[in-house]
Amino acid sequence: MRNLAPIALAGIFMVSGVSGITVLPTVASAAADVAIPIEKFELPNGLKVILSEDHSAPIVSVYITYRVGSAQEVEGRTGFAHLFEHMMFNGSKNVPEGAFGYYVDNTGGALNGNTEPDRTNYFETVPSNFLEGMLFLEASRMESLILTDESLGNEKDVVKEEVRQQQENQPFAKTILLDWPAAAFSSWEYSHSIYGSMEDLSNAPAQAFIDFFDRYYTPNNAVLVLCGDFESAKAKALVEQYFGPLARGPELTPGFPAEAEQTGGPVYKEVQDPLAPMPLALISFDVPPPREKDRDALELLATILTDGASARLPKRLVDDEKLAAAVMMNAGFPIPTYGQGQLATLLVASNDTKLADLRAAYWDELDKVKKKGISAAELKRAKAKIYKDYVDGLSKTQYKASQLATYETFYGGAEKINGDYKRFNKISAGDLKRVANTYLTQDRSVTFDIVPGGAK
Amino acid sequence: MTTKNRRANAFVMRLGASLSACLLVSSFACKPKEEVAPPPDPVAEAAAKEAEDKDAEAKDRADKAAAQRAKLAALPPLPGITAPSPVVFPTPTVTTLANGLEVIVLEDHEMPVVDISLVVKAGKIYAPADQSKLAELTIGLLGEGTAKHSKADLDKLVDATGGTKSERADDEIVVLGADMLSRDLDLGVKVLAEMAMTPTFPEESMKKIKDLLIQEVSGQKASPFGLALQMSERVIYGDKSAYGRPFPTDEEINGLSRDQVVAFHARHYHPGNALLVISGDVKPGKAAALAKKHFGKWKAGEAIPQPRGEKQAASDKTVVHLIDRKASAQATIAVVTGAAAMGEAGYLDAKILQAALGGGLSGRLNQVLREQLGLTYGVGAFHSSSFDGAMFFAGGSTKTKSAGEFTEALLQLLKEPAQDGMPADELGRIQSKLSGKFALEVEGVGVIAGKTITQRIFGLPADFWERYRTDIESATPEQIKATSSSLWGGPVQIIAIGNASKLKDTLGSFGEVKVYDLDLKPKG
Repeated sequence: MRNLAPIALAGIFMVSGVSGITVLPTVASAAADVAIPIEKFELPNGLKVILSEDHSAPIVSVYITYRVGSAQEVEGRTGFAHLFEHMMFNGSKNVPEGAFGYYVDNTGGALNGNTEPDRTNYFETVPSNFLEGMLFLEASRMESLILTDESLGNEKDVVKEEVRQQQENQPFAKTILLDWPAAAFSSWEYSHSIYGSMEDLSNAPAQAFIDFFDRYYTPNNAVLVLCGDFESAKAKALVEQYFGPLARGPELTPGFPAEAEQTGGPVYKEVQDPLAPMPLALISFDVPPPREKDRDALELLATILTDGASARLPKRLVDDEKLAAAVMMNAGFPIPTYGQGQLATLLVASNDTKLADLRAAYWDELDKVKKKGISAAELKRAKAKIYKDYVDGLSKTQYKASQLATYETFYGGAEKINGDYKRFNKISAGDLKRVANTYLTQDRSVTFDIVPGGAK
Repeated sequence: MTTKNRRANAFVMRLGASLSACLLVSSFACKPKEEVAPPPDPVAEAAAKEAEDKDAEAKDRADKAAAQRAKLAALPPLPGITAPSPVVFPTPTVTTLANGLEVIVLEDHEMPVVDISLVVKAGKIYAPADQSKLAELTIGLLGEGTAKHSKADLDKLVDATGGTKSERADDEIVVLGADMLSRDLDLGVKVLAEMAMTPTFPEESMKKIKDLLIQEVSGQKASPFGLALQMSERVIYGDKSAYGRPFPTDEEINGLSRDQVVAFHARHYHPGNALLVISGDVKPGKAAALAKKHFGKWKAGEAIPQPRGEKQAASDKTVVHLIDRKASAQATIAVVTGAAAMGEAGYLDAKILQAALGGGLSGRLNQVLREQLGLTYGVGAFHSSSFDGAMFFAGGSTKTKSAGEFTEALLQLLKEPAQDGMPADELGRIQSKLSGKFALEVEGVGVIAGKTITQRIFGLPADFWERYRTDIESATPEQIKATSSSLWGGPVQIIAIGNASKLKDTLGSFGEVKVYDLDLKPKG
């Protein structure tokens, strides 16, 4: 029994294990508030810990965010953060090579990791009677990951295969993961590939990886979130038992790279992709960091324009004029960043459409917003969508854990998640019109037309 | 020497060796009395040496994998494991309306949300063979307007609540869904009822939905996994099953008519052929009342027989089905075989084998192909059931030049449990793992609703999911060995996607190679 989602689009929307879960934009409604319990504390070694009990299912998620991603790499030493996403599942002092996955798999649980420019996440969701075991595993690899020429060599081969599979063998992926960030971001830190250079990986000696690990994979550069079926007092004691003895690492003050605004006129590139089954346009704009007021306004505007079949862009482009098969507009996509970011639109052409016609209709809709603004009904609908997303976001254990880690790492504290949709109440229709005129202009745009064809 | 050349030479040498052997036999036949030692044959000797080397490599690989498994099995248990919390599989409340519509309710009041699914037994396999996208076109058009509301109005109604509606076509069923805040349950049920009962099938929407279907097929053809899956089903189920159909052409999709849609809807969309599943923050009484309010006037229809294809006889030889995807940066390789379907004897054994072989990083396939040999980013296995049997699929992607090595190791790994059995401790570990996994699988009533639907559609015993864990735990090593033999004891089908000119010779050493284009039509 199976259902085939449109597989080509899966290639776009699930761009990678490289980039990861993006926090849902959130907004307001008159609905009853929904909140989750949050307890937080910090160990003397600097590890920030978030606990959120939820006994609705006998499972627990253990989620660690390290404040290191591809943006912390240096030229000539790229691909390190992503390679560590692999290495962290190899051996450590108390956990022999191959045992990490073996232990977690045997619980029936799931594990994974993902790498973004500003962070790397590691997580396990398991039956709740294995909580202590997961803390043991996570603490062990934070304390003493084994990094040898042999273990690094094997994972470098696996990473090279991952790049071939995810970036070079999937429709659109090479442009979206490699060419687009290079054009859309101005800083080297954000514009280089998260996968990095395979040559850099090959050339780097083991000591370079050891130094990188010692600098960034430390208690005071991490946030640990436990979410699910446990008692907080017992969980706290276990965290102290396993993570308390770990040594503090160097003091870092991680910031975000300085991004110059795209002001020199529009950037346009047409790329031929021999794997592409249909034409696709990617249009992006520089936008402020998450949670700044203008960013919130832009996220709300993206919801109004594309979220739901009655939203302006799908209604016109897909239903009325049948120019597009699908439309998507999202901030922090396809590469999530927590400094300056991008608001990107994907326009998937319908069968007979030229991308130029599709883009013209898209710009026409943006111009209408700039001139006439949006209606009260549209604003209300968007707020209802954001409230629903907020509630959904608190429903699943692992997703909740990921959001708590994001809030603690980047948004000023995990506790801010409760009721956070209300911050969108401050945004007016005038704000939406203003940000559309300020940020969504032709001069500030970067456009990639990806069309089927090219060398096979 | 490249791997490709080595394999091509090995193939030539094996051919040479067998010819030499024949010549020797006939030579003895002609001159039985002449007991003269044959002269040394360098070709045969080289072939024998090659075969010995290959056997030694395979043995070395198997020994290392077994040693790694033994090393892992000897690990101390994780600290602090406590007694597992009970996994409660909630009992659905089932009522039946006077018109025959079954209403299934699963309560969960943790969050103020509800998930509403109208399931109709009108999936892809119910469409005629020459109109294979008719089921998908029909459900795609249900959201395009009803007797009371245009598409735009329906969309506005749902979007205003923050909720979403959806249409999905699986092989056996189609699902009209609404995901709403619980305060908007009434509206959600009402919208689904309108869509199912009074669609207008506007002619002007036909092209849009057909274009989307054509793009979906294009997308599947553009994906190595999409191609592998479609080819696997063709090979396992064959032309006489609705599960083994070829890709439809653009002409076939464009040729579907509104009349065909209207007739398909009239025949299949009726209350006796559907289930209404409401899960989440709702009381059964309220759900039943809303079902009656909005679906009570749905007219009953005739029972539809479940389509059953003729089971494809297993092939008597190993064949490599090579799809020529010239732009591939890798080779995607899968080994597929027929298997027991859900509810049949051997099904749970196959699930255990799936977990042992393909289950995550510790599965045998990843342990050897990824961790030991570094040949792949990831390799996996899955088992999928149908009304016409089931398929076991195992595979992944590798460098084109490693395709031979990857395939050989993959085949060896699949055959090992049949040859050597599965040690009792490994079986116990897998059983415990599947049991734990079930706890994760039942998080949220939406997932439980899905399992309930599967149980109903496949006609599984009512207590199938309640017994799932104990049934898994009762499997014996002997059963697993026997099931493994039935899966991989004989010839298998190999599916390969990549540049055929670079793969054909390499893969020829595993069996006859049939080359296909991206439409899965034979080439040359």
